[in-house]
Amino acid sequence: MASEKKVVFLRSSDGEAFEVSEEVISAASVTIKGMIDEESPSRADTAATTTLAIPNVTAATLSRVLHYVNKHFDAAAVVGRPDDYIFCAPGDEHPLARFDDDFVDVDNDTLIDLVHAAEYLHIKKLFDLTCKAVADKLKGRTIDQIRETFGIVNDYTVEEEVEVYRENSWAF
Amino acid sequence: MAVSAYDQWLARREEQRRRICGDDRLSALPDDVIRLILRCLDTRSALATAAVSKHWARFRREHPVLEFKVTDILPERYHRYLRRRRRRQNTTTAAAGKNHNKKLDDLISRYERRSMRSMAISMNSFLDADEVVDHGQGRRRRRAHAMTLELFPGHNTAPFNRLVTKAIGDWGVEDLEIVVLHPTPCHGHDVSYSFPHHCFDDDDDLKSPTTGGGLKKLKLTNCTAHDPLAAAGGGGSSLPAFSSLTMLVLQDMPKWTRGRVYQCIVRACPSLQVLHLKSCVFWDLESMSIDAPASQITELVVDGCTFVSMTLRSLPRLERLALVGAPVAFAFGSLPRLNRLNLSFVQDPIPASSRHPMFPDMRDEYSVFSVIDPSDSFRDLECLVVRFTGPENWVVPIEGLSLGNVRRLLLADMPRSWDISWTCRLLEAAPYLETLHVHFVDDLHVGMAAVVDPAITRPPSDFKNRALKEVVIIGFKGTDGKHVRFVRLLIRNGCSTLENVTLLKHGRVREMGLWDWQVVATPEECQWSDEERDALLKEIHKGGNTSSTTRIILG
Repeated sequence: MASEKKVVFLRSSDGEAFEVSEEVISAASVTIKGMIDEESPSRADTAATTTLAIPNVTAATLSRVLHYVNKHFDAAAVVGRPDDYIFCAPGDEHPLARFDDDFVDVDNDTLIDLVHAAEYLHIKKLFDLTCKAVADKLKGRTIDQIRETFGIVNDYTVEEEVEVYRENSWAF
Repeated sequence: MAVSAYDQWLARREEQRRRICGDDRLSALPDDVIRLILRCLDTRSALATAAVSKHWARFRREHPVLEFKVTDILPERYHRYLRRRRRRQNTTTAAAGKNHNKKLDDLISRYERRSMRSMAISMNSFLDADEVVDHGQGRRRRRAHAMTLELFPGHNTAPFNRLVTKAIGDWGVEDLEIVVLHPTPCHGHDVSYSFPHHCFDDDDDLKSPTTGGGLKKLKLTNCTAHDPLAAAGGGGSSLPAFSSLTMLVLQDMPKWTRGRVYQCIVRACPSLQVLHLKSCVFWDLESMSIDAPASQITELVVDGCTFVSMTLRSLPRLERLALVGAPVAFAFGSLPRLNRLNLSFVQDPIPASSRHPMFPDMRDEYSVFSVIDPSDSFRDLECLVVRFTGPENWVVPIEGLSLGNVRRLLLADMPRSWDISWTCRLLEAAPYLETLHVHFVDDLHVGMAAVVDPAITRPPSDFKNRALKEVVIIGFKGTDGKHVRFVRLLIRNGCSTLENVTLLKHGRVREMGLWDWQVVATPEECQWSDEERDALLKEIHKGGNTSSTTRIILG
């Protein structure tokens, strides 16, 4: 294979293109790796770089995702093996633990966009991180607070609500 | 670039959800994503989400891990009282102080009882809803994989028995842990909680096609093992609840548990492969014996239990055995497949005040290997770990001991006052030993060791080992004649196959599980200086032929 760093372009749903190292994004995203593998026979003899359409992800979200990907999957930037930190106890401060905390410290809409993007792009680490962040937003809040925070409409009748509270009285 | 069919489908799905859920983007997430989010929550938070909206209630019976812990509902005030009570534990002697302590105890105890009552009510309504489902149409059955139940002992055990029965019988729980807490103040042992074996009389319940393979892992902490269990085991029959159990951990079994109960448990679990006994205390210094020729057990760990003696008469499939804790007399019977053995003895030094006034140097001697049927015991043994912590532990060599096929041997936490003859006996008993690692404790116990330093009997002159390749000694002291003598003995009349002898001044043994280990040397600068090196090599080679091919590596 060519020794110089290959790049691909990702085009967001609103038409903006982002450059990313092919090696890095392939390691991170199962979906994009699949797309690249599909494309590769046709571009073996051409020098043109590939542009891949990511129709479900907006530019704002995609740029965040790529920021995460470059931090976590670029071997040059990562200290130690990228998977190691998952097994670290909460006390062991991994260099990226702080980055992760800040990364998901965003408003609900942005966070849910990230969940969608991570799911679509099959970036497991990012998906786990964002799901955990959503869970943390649910934890320690009353039912009314959860409804208010996420704009969830209470569609229970009074009887139904009594029943569901009784069944799950352990939680209250 | 064409938009793939999958992308179109995704867009349609998103559109559909948006129509249903309006601005509520959280509820609009795919079901599988919501399940994953719920999985990141503790049981109480996860169950609470059912009350948010009907959409969220759909997931309320799909939490794979359920944790019901009474400590989760004890109020902060309870913990405050408890802390205050603990601080006062031994400080107050005056009558007024005792009165105050009693008052605190009453408060604490009231909170515990109240929480247990509330827990019982919650469990009942949780289960009642389940019954409605069972009889109703179109509603989902609860499914769960693992459950933890933590409670204070009390008289009303019915809701918890019902919960356990339901969890195993209907929800498909395979991994169950029950922790019985010690109530404050401790009223002795009039009430406890025992696993509800009697609820599983009907075997069909557990084998119905809708449930999983039944209970696989069970961990009981401070639960009583009542007579039904013992009776069933004694009769040789298995209990339905335990028929599929592969792993059992019994911790802090109440001290009135009789030794024979353990044998009964082993017999009552025909599929059991792993058995761990942790901190099981014995009331009347009983001995424990396991004789189970039909058992499938491959791993047995006995950790911190106070048996007077333990006899493993027959465990035909046992491969890994670890005996950790205060020294106990062990007798090994038929263990034909035993492959890895860990004997880790830990004991605090006997304080000088309680030593025998006439014989202050007297030490406890433990005969580690007592073999009932030597031909069958260690036939397949390959790895042996012997660890001594505390200076009182000594091993009486046994004549005629055979360690058959032992290839790797670790002697860890050895006292400085090292009895070479004993080590040589082990080497003699293991003619196929390839790797020997010896680890000495740091100078911490030097004072003590000097007191109990025994007379060293001379190693047998016909000592021979035919396979030894590698020897590592950690904490080697060049100034200690015994250490040097041992190395000289190995090189000279011991082993022609010996390739490397590594002598480390400082280092440690990194445990990798109970039966494997790695030797870790501290950085080179902490090891030998050049003068020390020269002196040591000279000392080792003193008066012998230099034709030996063994390499001596220092640090």
